[in-house]
Amino acid sequence: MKPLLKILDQKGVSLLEIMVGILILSTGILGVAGLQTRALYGIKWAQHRSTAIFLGQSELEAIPFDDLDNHHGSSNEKEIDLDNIKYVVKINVDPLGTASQKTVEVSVSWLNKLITIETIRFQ
Amino acid sequence: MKESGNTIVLVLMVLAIMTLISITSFEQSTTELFLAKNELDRKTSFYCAEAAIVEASNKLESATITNLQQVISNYSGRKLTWIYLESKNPDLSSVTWENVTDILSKMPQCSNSKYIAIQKTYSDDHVLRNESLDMNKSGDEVHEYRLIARSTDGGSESTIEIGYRRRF
Repeated sequence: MKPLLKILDQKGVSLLEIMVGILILSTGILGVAGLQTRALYGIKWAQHRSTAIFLGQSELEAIPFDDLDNHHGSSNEKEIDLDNIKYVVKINVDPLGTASQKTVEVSVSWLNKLITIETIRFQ
Repeated sequence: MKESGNTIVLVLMVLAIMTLISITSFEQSTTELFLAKNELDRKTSFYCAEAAIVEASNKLESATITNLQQVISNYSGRKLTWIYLESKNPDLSSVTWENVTDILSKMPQCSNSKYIAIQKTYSDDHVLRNESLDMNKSGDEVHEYRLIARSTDGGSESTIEIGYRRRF
């Protein structure tokens, strides 16, 4: 009986060890997973923002300098789908002081976020 | 009992490696966040500098031939104080930069933008002929400038330089 008990004893300690190990490991994995989720969220946020800035700039630069009047006063809206995200690009052209200077404002919104690029153009 | 320590050590080592990996990827995502944030600041300052260029060229555009000629003939008594005449490559730090005014009503974020205009000096009486854009009509004068605008808005910094010509 004695040797058998010893073997049984050893098995119990080993199981406890493994259980404690699994507990620590799973807690650690949970923490790491949380960190990874946050990292992924941040990367997505940055990616969307970069895309929005890129779209805004290309829309702004795409307005022909001699065709500002077609955007003048009215608000032009454009929807662009990229990577399953809907970006809404709005262009506003307003005269500034003299008629030859115009503010061009491009705002891009996506998922309740918004960026605005604004400049002055000469006609 | 000997083996019991090994499991914990192994688990802790695996955990440490995983923590290192995740910290690295988190660092990377933080960098991306900063990049995305700074990108708009950079664009803001760039477009502020561009707006300052437009304001400067608009002022040149509305200047009459008389006050531009005064500017050219008499440096110290010039009317457009921000035009710098003395050399082709002036020391920009010693120049009085002109702060933007007109554009501030629509673009208040551009309050740290400023510009200068440099008259290009030519031996032929500061006049260019047969250069571009139908600027060679007889009796006309063409003045050429370098417009430099600098903006430190949005926490970033941008400098734009363009060439500007006007026929009188």
